[in-house]
Amino acid sequence: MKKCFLSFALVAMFSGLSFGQLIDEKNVTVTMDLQPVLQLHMTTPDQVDFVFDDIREYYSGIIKYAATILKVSSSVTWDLYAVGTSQAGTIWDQQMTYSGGGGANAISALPLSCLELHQYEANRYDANAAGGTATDYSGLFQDAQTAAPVVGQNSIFYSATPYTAPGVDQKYIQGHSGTVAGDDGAPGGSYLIASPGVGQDFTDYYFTIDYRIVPGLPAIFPFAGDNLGNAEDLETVNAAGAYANPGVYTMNVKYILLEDQ
Amino acid sequence: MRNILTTFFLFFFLYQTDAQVCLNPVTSNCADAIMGTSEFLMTTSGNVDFVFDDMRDFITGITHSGSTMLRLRIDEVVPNSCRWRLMMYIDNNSVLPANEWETLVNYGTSGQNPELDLIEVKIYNGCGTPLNSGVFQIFAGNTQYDLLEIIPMGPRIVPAPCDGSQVNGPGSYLTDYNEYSFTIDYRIKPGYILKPGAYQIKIHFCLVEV
Repeated sequence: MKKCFLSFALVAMFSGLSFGQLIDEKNVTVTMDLQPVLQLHMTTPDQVDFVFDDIREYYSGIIKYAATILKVSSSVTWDLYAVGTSQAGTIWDQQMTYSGGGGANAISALPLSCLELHQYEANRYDANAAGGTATDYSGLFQDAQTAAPVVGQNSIFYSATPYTAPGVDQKYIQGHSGTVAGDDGAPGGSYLIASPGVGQDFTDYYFTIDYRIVPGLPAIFPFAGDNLGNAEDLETVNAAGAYANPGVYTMNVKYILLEDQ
Repeated sequence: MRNILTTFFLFFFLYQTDAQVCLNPVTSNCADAIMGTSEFLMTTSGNVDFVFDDMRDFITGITHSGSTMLRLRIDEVVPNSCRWRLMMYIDNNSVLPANEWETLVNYGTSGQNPELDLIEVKIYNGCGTPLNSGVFQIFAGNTQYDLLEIIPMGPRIVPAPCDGSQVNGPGSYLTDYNEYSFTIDYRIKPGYILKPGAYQIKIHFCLVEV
């Protein structure tokens, strides 16, 4: 038996070494780390100033055309929204008061919604929007002298918690609340290489933003409102005869780019 | 004696290299590269890592040039009979579906999983002996164990003038570097449709006599 094993071993050894076959294999491991990248490039003045020192400006308002240009690059499906906020939360921060605080009906709690935006081009991914006056800011600014303004149509979405994304009844610049494929989020891409689609002047990754404030006379901000159509002008919110307290006010506009949600 | 025999058989069976694609040859005309005088050497920088953390990378892609180098020395045992084949194949660690990379972790929810035909490889040497030398190629079959031939099975071609022939006879990188060494570049251009995450594949290089 031992001889048999030994013979087999010798045969195997000779077959393995003397008549070895050429075969060998090497391998390489390849890893790919795709990190989510969302980049928002914004061209804008550090501060957009509205100075109302002429009666004509109270009536007609002041418009800052294309004061902000937004350029998006994203490796994932994305939404973009603007949100007005302030230290006070949902009203402008009064930095200075003129005329000793105004009269008895002078109101310093100005709604953030008195700031209007107009975006170009329109939101193309807002299919899941529901219940609001507008899904974006693409509507033209209404005539400042119109007798029956559609309140809130261009008013900025505002919130004391600006990093909480707007709901389905609020405005987005691009995309919307929800994740319906192809409808509620713009596809990944970049303003660097995208081309405008049919009928578009800009790509899905480039927007210009106009700003307008119309105080009116008396200064009640007749176009202010939320996106559900509720008026937020000073008379409606306070009482007949109310008007804006002369002074310096500030608010903050944030542009938030986030993965589709 | 029993221990000696057990050790011997273990050694013997380990010696028989095998893989799903890299099948045992049926001839013994070339010296083997494990115990014999032939050599199959690979130099690579460990993992080939592609990290996409900037939009420019997503747009332009990332290329790792010369990440893998193969060097061959092929000796023949039976005169005028030794010829060989060199190929590479892709492996996703057998995850399903068979056309996708193995997912290590996801960073988000939107997007598609990357498929195996995402990675591009370019194989070249000084004499242009590889099939499709110097051209970025994909694993077009887009499935586990899909093959790309580097030196395909063909009639025996011994080292020739440096003319792009697919040399597959005996020879050595030591004396004929431009026909017996191979450089591999890797490139990935992910675009914007993929799901953020970390993914992995393995690329095998198989040398076998034919």
